[in-house]
Amino acid sequence: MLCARYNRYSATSLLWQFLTGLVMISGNLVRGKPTIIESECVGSILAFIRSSLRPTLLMTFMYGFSVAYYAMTRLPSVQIFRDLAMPHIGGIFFVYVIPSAIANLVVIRGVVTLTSDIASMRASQELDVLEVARFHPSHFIFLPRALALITGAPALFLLGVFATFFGAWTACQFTFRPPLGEFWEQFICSITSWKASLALFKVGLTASIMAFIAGYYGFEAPLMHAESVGKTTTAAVVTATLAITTINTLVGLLLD
Amino acid sequence: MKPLTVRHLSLTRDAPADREFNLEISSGEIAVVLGGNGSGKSLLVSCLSGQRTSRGASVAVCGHELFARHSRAPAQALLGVMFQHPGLLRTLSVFDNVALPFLQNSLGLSGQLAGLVGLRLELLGCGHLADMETESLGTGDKRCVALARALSGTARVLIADEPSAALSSETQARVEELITVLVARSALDAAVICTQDMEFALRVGTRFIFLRDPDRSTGALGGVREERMAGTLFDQPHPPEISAYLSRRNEWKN
Repeated sequence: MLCARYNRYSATSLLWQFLTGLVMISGNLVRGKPTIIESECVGSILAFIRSSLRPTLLMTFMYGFSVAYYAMTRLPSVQIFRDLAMPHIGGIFFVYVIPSAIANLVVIRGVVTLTSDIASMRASQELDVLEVARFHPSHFIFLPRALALITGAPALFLLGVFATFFGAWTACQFTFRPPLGEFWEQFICSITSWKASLALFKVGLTASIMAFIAGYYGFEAPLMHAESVGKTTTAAVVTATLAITTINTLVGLLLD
Repeated sequence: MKPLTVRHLSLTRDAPADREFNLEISSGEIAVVLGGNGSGKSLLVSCLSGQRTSRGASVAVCGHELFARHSRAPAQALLGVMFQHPGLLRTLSVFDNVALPFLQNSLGLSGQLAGLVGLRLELLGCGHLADMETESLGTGDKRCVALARALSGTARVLIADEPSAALSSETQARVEELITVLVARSALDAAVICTQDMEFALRVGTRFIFLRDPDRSTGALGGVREERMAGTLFDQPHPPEISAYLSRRNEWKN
């Protein structure tokens, strides 16, 4: 067995480095002296949102369409859907449907990107170079990508609300053809501030935990073995999927 | 004070004492580490750069212990490391990659830094690549930029893994000359170079360290089989496996 790696990355050390990194970049920004790390953060957030925008809009549209269409076809009549389901559809979408879509697409996508990015940097010795240059790799590599996931997921969630609305409205065009304005009013009136906060909390919490799972797996990837990138990423995605299910169940039980 | 002192360093766990490294690299020395495939050269670079360690091991750079929390940062500041993979950060330009070791010294992002980075790139013939993204570079260029980065910051001891690999003969000659001149003129205190390239080794090396072959039964790596100073490499008979290694290399060259 080979001699031990000097630097180890536990989930708690990543959390600590993430928090100290946040303090550091806040200080740099307040002093007006941005460094290379702040530009990495901005670049990562923009790249994440840019690359996830189109699939997010498509996915949330499909979720909205499918759920509305399924409800309409399973209820005894369209009238029952209009009278009973419509007044609650916005809230149901906001708390359950859109967070699921965001978790399934955006967050899993973020986990795959983050884990494979970090693991391949381990394989190509980029992390070793940072360590030798006395940079903490989690400040330079993890912090920008984790920030992108944690801030990008709620931003995409808010955009996803509109795509879901249009998806549900399109499904309704096959039956009772509601006017857009009326449908929007009914959609939005069932979203209370409590439900909105709960949904954003769920998305933010899921994204944060996913970022730390991805970071942990990425940093702990074996040294200099490119073939380990796939295995590490698969392990991270499996853990992330289990974690998403657990988080949704726990948050549902505690806060609903 | 020796630029590099290594004590009780093992590349594998529970390695016997004869597999430990105990080395002292003096000022002005260019130590070339030679060994066959899988003999542990890259692992040795990982240990000398502080990435891996074994129980009870000590690596001191100009008196600063690399594996002690309080002196790790000053020890690392004196090391310039070129790994087997170029390890250029993919999101940064060539210039930013070479500037990285300087940023720990709180240099501004303009003026002095531009000159320091530009000089290193020019010395390696890569000045024209400064604004390029690293992903668009060829392997040879990436290795040159990696060497330029290893020579940045406050490095006094260069540790390089296969610095001549994938380079054109012209660039290889430039690298040989640069390392030799930097050490001769005390811009670097010493250099440790792991390589398979015997010709390159003979041209730059002042001291030759032959690694032992790996123990196939236990998997143990490391240990010094023999050491020679420049000029005595072919003077005296070698142990059989080193003679075989040298002749294999020469046959291949011929």
